[in-house]
Amino acid sequence: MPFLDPNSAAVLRPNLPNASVVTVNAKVLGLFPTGFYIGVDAYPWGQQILPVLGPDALQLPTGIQVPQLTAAHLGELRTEMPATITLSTAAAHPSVERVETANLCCVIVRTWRPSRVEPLDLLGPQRYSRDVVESIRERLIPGRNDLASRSFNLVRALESGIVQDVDSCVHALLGYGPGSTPSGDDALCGIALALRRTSQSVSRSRQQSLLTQRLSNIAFEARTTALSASLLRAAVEGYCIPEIEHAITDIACLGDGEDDSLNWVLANISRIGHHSGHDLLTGALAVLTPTEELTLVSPLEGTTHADDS
Amino acid sequence: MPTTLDIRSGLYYDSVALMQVSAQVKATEGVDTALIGMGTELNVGLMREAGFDIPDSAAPNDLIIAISASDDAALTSGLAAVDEAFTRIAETATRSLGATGAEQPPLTVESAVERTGSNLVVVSVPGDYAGIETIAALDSGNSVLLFSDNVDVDTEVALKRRATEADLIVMGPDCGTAIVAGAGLGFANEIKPGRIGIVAASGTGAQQVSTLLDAAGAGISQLIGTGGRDLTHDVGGLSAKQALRALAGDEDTDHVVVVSKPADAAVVAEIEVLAADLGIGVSWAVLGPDSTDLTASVEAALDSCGFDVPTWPTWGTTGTTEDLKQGPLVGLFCGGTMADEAMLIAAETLGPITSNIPIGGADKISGPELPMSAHTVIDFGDDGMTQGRAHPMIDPSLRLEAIAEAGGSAGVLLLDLVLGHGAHAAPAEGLAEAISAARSTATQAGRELPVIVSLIGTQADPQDFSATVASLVEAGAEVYVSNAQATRRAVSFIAPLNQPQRDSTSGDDAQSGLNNSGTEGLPARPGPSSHEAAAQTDVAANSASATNSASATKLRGLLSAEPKVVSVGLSLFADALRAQAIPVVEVPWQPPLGDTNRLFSVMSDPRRLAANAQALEAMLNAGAQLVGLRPARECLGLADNEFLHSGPPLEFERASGPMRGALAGAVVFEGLTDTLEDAEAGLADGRFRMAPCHSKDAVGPMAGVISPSMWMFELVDPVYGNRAYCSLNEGLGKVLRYGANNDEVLDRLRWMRDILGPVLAQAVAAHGPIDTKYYVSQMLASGDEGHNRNRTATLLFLRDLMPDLLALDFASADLAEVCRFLGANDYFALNLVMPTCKLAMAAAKGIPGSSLVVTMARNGTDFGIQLSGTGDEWFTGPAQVAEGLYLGDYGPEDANPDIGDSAITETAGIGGLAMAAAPAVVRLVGGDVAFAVETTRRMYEITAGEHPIHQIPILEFRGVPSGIDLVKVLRTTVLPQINTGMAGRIAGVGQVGAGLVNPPMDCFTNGLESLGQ
Repeated sequence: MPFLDPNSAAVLRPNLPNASVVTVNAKVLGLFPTGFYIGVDAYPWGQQILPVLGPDALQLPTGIQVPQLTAAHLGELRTEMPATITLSTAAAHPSVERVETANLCCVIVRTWRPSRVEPLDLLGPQRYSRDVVESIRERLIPGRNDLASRSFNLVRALESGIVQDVDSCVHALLGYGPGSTPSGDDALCGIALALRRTSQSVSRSRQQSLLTQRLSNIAFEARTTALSASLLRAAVEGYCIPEIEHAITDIACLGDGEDDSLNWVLANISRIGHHSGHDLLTGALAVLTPTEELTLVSPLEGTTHADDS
Repeated sequence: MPTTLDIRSGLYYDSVALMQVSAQVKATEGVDTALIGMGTELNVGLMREAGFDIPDSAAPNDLIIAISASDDAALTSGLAAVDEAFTRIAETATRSLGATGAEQPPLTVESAVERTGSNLVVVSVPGDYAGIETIAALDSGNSVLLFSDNVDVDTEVALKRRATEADLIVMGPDCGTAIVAGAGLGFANEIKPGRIGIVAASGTGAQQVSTLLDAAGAGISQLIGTGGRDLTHDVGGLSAKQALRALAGDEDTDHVVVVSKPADAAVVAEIEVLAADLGIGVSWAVLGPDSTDLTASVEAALDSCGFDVPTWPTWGTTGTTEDLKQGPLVGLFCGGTMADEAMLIAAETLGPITSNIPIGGADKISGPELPMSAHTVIDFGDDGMTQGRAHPMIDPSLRLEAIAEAGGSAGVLLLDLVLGHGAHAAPAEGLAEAISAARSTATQAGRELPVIVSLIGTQADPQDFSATVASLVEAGAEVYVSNAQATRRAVSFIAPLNQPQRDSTSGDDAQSGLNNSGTEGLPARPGPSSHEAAAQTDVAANSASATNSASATKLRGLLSAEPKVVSVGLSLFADALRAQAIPVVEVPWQPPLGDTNRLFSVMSDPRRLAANAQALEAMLNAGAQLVGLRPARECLGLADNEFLHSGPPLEFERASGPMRGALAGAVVFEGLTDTLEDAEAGLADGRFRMAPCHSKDAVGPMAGVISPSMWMFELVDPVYGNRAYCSLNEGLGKVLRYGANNDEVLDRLRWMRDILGPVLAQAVAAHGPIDTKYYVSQMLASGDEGHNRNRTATLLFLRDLMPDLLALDFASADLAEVCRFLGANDYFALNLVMPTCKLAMAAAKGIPGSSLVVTMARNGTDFGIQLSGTGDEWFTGPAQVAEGLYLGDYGPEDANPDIGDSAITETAGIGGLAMAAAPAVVRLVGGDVAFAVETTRRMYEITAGEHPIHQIPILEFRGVPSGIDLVKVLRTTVLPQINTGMAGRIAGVGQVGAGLVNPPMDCFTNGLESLGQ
């Protein structure tokens, strides 16, 4: 996130005036049962969104964690309620010091450690089994019917190294789908995370670099929601929610026939949003699937999917 | 076709919400298309393809609502449906945030860990109980910060071994300081991130080292406490080694500083070898007569890591070294290690220092009273000074009084002040006032009193560091961040008065940082005495068992993952963690019941967890099929004069009224005597024998009396092959099981023997096996809990049996009477549910080491339980009188103590444990619906698992709490909840009410005694 510093943890405090900082106006953009979104228009980056997460919320890597945040606090918030973000000017880069609404004041007290996908040791015992990857893929229910084929197309393009194809396939995913984190973005996150996971391989490392380089040319905020844009940036760096990190890591530990463990992985990712967990894994599996499997093309590819049919 | 486009900026909904809105709008009559989504480029493109004119100004953060409809009215309706749907979503969200459906708080560490996914447990309960909570945490997969003191060495070693074997660590006991994954635990300072890790067997020593590293700009990666005894021979550095392995595997750590009071040389040597094997550099900051001061150790570590050694900050220093010669050095400390260091340094110049924690044979004092002339250092944090009051870092009052009074006698006053999490929130003001008072007293006596303060803290600590310094300087103090420098400064005021009296064996090495091993900072390694040589052998043997592996560990991600903490004990720690925005759940704690050592022993049993898991699995897997009905004489092998009763074994003399009535009635029913009086006489003199139903794989409700000619349900577990039996239910009112025994009762029994039994036996034979486990699941789904509500199972049984029953070759009047009898008795299926539960528990029996309860039964006099790990042994206590609702004019004085084998239902997780599934039962047994739901939720705190098939709809189909764990009962003091009918106290009265009852705790404390042997 270019403007708001992510991965902070905050405590609730009474509002205290402090003249040595800069305060910008913001508003409550959305409420969900375990947290809320704060948005701020920040020239020249456009709208920036800051998830404020209660103890039971998904640990979005770009969010502020507030363990004390309760249902009672959230119950007093309303969408579009004015808010302010106070920035510390002490350091070279401004960082969020406080987030305030009419009845809530979150004071940043430390930096937390989001989950991060780490590269797999190629010399270690863990491998991604073709059968396991395939059996998971068969059971995924992505938010868009052609998400897998769009993801495969991008992976194929990355393998070919043809920049125009990569750009075309990235654009076919960016912002694709309804909701605040479109399915295409989630799949793109999954691809970026899985490339990082397999980046000890020379070819995957090259593909990771290519994807990172091509994504760096895109102004995400112009193509997708601010929330999704921030999560994409985090994914390129390897950051994601713990459930996805566990899934990508655990799949490499699974052998054929370990149905209970496989069910466990699926059950955990199914709790992420409505489709997001499946969308993320759809993207990741496009990378983790052995090369010869990438010829799969959805019969629905190219058809119109205007809504949640 | 009319269309509408609504673009709403800055609204965020997830795809589920948008799907809900979309579905609702589409369902509106006349609406043709409804496209609702965020205005991303692709979505806008798709909407345009669908014929909507989306303006270019639509942005990805806009919510676009595009609707087309057959006419304007339908369009208006569609738009109204959009608003309605969004309003409903908002209301739903608000409701879900409300207080309804609140969970019961976790009552055990295990429960809290499971609910929160924590990775660390902070234990601060009294030392006698600390082992119990620590082992619970370790067995739940969490490392532990063990703040408690007074934990014996054997327990410490056992806990640390268990932790190492599980790839975890126990930081403690008596560990007050740690910084893990950026979280300060206990008394910890806000230290900037760096690449030096600290392993600390000394709390305030660790704070001194870490704050100096912060001041030098190096910072730290992690600070892992080990407890003060860890580097002793007895403990063998178990936690220090584990910490070293963890830091070797920590991506953020390049170098390790080990901080300790004097350590065992052999242990130190082992750690040296381990560090070399792990390939990680180690510096030592180990205080002792021949070791460096902590500041010198930090300087050596900084040098090793390539950092410049700074000039340590001081404030308010006058530069004078004037010899005041007006009195002794008086050091009044909060930190024990600070006091030790001050004494070690001061003793080099001033000779032995009198103290409450003297070093090197110096004089010992016991309280805060200062000797008039001797150089004195007092540690106000020592155990002897904190009895009945908090540590001086939290409650400084006693030390402040001593400081103020010291002005009358001290020549120079040396103090420490420790800032950071957990410490007093604003300590400067009180300390400055005390310093001013002391100096004022000295001034009035015509003396100048130098006051030197070593300030252990950082600019980022919660207390205002700069303001603290300013306040102390204003009060006239000189402030140092190095305790060693502060001490030397204090000594410099007095030094000329005293010639150096240093130990002849300690040369200048202490100052230079070199010891007789020649290793920088490494503590001395004396040649081993014979005792020490043996000790080293022991330590080596200890290490070889599980602890000296030189592979790095991740401590299950403790150092890299975001901290999530469970705290049991002092709220102080939880508060300090909350102030750092760290998720923390507090477990309410109370001393467990039963013998504490025995409880720890049972929990330490390496078989226990696996045994409980095995017992639980068997209990949940067991099936139950009704395969037939046979007379007890035949299927149980009862002799003509043999009678079974409910509950644990019982002599007739101790039998309660209803039990006597039922037994005597059964004797008459069998035709063995003509009168009840003769029957009672025969039961008393042994002509008629008695045994518990459970001894014959049978169960019986209330008095549970089974006589040879009574028909029994015969159930088989197709999974484990066990069999269980139960008599036929007589209905309500005056019945034998409640102790009634008049002609009406006996006539009914004869009808059951002659008609009901044979009819049901033939009907079941014709039908084939009936799955009664399925009945239980259906009951829970239908509002029955299986003990006092059995309507669903009764009707299911009747439904299953009816076609075969009506086809039997019996008089139609008899068949009609059988159907009428079953249909009129909602309790009939209780006698099917009970043996079903008995089969579940039979599968869980006889697993050595298991602490799960497999039987709960009452005979009207005693309540008895059996445990999976203790065979057929009964553990009993006095049966209680239920509290509940009474029939007619009956009251508590009419009720007999608890009676019956029907508590087998609760043992198997239904009945009272599953009250949430049957809220209507409160109309029978008392309480309200909230009580029913809360009761079930509370039962999860004392059970080992949840049933995968028997589920409770109102709890989102959570499985019933299954596998009552004696250990959890004793630790939470929560007893299993039982619903029960109440029998009249006097024989022959019958039922007087129904209510709620618990087992006596004696059953569980007695069970613990046996299990622990």
